[in-house]
Amino acid sequence: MKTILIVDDEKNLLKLYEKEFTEEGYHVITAGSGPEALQKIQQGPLDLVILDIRMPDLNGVETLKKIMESTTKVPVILNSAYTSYRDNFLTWAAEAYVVKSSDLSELKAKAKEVLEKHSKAQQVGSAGPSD
Amino acid sequence: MSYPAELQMLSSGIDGLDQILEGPRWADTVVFCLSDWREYNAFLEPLADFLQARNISTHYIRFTERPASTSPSVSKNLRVHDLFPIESTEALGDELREVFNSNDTSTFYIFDDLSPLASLAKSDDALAELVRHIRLEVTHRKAAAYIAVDKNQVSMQTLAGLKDAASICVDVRSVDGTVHLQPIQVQGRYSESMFLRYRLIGGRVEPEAGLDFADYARTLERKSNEFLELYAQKRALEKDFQRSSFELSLINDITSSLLSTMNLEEILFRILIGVTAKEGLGFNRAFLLLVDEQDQILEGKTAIGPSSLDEALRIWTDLNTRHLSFPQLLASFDEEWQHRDIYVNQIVRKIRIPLRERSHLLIQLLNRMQPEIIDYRAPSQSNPSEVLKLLEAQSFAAVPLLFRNRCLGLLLADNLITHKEITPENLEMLQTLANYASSAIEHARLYEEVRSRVKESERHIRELETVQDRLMRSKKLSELGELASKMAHEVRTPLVSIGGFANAVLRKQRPDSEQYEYLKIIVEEVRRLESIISDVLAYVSPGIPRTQPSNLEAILDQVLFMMNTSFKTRGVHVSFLPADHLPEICVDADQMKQVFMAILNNAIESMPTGGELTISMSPQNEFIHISISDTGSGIPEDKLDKVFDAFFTTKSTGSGLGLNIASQIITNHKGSIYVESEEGVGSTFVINLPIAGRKEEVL
Repeated sequence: MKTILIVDDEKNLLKLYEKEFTEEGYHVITAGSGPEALQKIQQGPLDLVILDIRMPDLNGVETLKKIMESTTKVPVILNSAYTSYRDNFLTWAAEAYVVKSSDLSELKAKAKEVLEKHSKAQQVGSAGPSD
Repeated sequence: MSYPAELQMLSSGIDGLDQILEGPRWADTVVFCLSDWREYNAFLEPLADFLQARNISTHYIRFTERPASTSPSVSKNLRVHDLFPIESTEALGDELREVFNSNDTSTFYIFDDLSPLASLAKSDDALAELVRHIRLEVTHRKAAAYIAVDKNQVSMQTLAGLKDAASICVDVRSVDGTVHLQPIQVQGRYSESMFLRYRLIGGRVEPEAGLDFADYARTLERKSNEFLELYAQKRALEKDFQRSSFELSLINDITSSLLSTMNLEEILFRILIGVTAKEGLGFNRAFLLLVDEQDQILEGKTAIGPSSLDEALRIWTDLNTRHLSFPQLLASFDEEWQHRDIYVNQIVRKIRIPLRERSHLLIQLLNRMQPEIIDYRAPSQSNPSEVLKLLEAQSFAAVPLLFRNRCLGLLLADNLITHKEITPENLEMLQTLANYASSAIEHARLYEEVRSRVKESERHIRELETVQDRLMRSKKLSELGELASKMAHEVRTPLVSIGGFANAVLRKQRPDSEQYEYLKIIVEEVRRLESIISDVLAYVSPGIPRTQPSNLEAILDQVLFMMNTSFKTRGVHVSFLPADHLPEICVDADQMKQVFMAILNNAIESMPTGGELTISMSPQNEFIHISISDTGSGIPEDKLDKVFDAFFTTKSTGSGLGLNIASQIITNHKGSIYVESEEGVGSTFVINLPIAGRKEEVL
């Protein structure tokens, strides 16, 4: 079972994402801030991070930067209410950038795509993508 | 009657002065005011000789208290009358009348000293009365009289009365043995202090040594001529002065009138009125020609005046009945005036002569820059038939309109109706007027230029204000945009929660339950709000396209997948026919998704009862050609060019921004987008995206 860390300062969103991605069959852990997220990344192996950008203390872009600088090579999907951060080249290090929407299908599809891409990279020579 | 030649000669000259000095003149009554009695007696002798030599009968009248013992022996021609004025001057008058009546014309009367009569006289005026009486008789008979008065014996007042009464009064003075004859008054006019000196020699008065009578005559003649010349000059100056003061007041009237307006039309009118009005220069007609610097032509501008005698009489009578003063006449400008003198204005408008036609009379006049009278009747004039034909005049005056050594044009004037000759004075006046006229014209032109510059500046200022206004508005809009963007972002997060949870709960409901229906409404409405927010955000800040090699087919597939539910709900059948081996091109995948979504949403909206959606995608030359056709209601022809405008929408929902953003994105990608549509048949959106930016490696 893949483990996804979802980072957002909005409690309601965390609750929604946790429920939705759990129902999709993932193991979901959450963090309410950037520093908390960095701490959880340190603690255990993760398969994917879904990271909000506008957060107090340490924002998503800075958090992303720290993740990239760390030894953990966990893929990150940025998830923001803003489209404008895409113009910031620091966000390009993320695997994907998904604008927040009540329709979670795009985010779910992206998560699935990224996870598959990474497991494929880890198991060289395995079968191609299913779709 | 005729006079002896010598007397005729003596009668010439200036108003009697020379005659008194040189000899008697008929009809003169001369009073000599003496201080030394011997002077007069001695003076009478040469006179008597003079008269005797010419056989002129001479009477000598003496006033004595008793009969004279001896009569004067000066000449046998001299008849002596001793009168005894015992009772009064009135009685003396009767006696005198007898003397006069006893003689015919051409008689010379010499009177003895009148001063003894002064004591008899009842008033200061009595002697003057007597002299006046003598003068009447003398004038009547064409005789002449010399009267002596001892000025030591009479009052100043009596003397003054005598001066008035006599036709000539001479002050005789003797200083150092020389007799000075000083005319005091000649016919009430003469006041110059010319005098002749005689020397008393042995009791006789003779001209000063070395000078004879002829010399005196010549000297006097010369002096007289000099005087006459001076007098003529004085008269001419006086006339000049009168004319100048008339001209001055005329020019003053006209120039003050010219200065009171800056309207060129009105100035031209006033100039022409000044030239033609009876109180002005009094010409019959006047024409004004101005140089057009730009077109390099001399152009007839305007004219005034009658074209026939009938018209002239009508106009001049009309003017008389209007009783306008000259200044009023000058100010009587109205816009219609040129329509009254139609004929002359037709003539003047025909004048358009290029300045390079140097042989043309009018151009010659312009270049010569001096006033001239052109008279075709004069034999020396060559016959410039064109000008003659044009003006229909035999002669005219032409003056240049000079301003700072530049010739602005010509002022022509003639007397077509009255045929009055144009004098050099007329011409001079015309030139004076023209000089003022040209500065008025130039000032009006400058004023006009300044005014148009000011207008232009005002227009610039207005434009600046408009631009500033627009800037302010756009600043406001950008502030508004910022606010909208902030709000949209803030609203989006709670919408995600609302819509997300509603969707989660919705999945657990039976599709036929009430809760399912309501939750579905919440989910759909939230989606709609989110899409409006996306549109507004994209409009406010479309963002820089972050291009990377992308597969357009895959992007469109994703969009179709996302919108699958909408297609199904509306009963829209989608067929997507991508060409084989589509090259990857550099686009912003997210922005492309927006483009497709906008067009597909538009298609769905246009097919409420379902329909066919046909999508093709193929490389064509340097472009990828994408065509999206629906079988919807289509777009009315008059709305077709508004489809891509911001906030244009035919729907009651939606932001009206989707297609505008799509168009902006395609333009940012250096592509093109357009729509073809037929009402009731459907619409086709066509997108062309350049392949130029594609990567070498293809899928």
